[in-house]
Amino acid sequence: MPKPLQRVIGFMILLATVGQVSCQALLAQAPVLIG
Amino acid sequence: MVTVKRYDPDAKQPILWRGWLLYLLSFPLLPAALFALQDGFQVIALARGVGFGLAIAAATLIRKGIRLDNEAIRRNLRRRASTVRYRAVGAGLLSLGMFLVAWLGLHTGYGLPGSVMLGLAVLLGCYLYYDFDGIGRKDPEIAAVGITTEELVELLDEAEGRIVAIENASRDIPNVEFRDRLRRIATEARAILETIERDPVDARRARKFLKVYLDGARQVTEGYARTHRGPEAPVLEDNFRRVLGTIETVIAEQQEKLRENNVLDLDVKIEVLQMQLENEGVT
Repeated sequence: MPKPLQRVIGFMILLATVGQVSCQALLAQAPVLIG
Repeated sequence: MVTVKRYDPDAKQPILWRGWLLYLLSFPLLPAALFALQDGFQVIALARGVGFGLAIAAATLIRKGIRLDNEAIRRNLRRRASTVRYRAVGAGLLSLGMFLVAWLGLHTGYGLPGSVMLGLAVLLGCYLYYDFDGIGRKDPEIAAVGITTEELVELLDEAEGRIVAIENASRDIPNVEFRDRLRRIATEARAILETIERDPVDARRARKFLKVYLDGARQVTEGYARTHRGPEAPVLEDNFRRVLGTIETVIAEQQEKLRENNVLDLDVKIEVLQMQLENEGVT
């Protein structure tokens, strides 16, 4: 696999995993906060 | 043969942007943990807090791995970067952290199998985006050289720092003869560094010289400079002249030994010099 493509895929995976989990954790708390 | 560029303390280090992504992506976990704690969800808060800590540690390790790799490229160094695979360890920590957050840190958790899958996906993402140090790289010289980039860079940087300290101290010495001799000593010591940079295999043989001996030379020069800012003391001056003579001899012998690949005799001589430095009382 070419290196740039590998990097792009890796970036997307990190965004979809680490980014999603941490944002989900923050946003999931939001209704509780509002409530 | 491999070569390495010499450390230049004035060279501007480029800003390392790679690795910041992880700090950014994991940052929401910190307020999320605090909010959960505020709302009384201790387990969730703990999972998020631990996940955040692991992610920060992972980002720091991964950045260290990248920095070492960049340093190796900057100095044309081709060997295993470190005995610790910083990026692989960092990726492992991040994977564990995200697994914990996904499993225990969310109100609607991923469940154990889903969290394991997510952890593995994080590992894969790290491998693809950051690469793991040396994995899949074939370098026959690694075993032969027996010193990693991390050790070599540290050794050379420390030695350069000691030479700079000798030069700085020599500027405070009023005696012109001593200043000239110290200048020559610094030049010769740099020549030894250059020999090591040209062929890092020599680093093993010169380790004691670079660490113990150069530091002794630095201490003696700084000590002499400190005590001779005012009126000169003739007795110490004779002692210092003798010590300088020994330093010059040892440097010349170090260069010779590096050429001959013989380290044992010189190690003994360095120890003798250490004793002489103490006995002369100029430190």
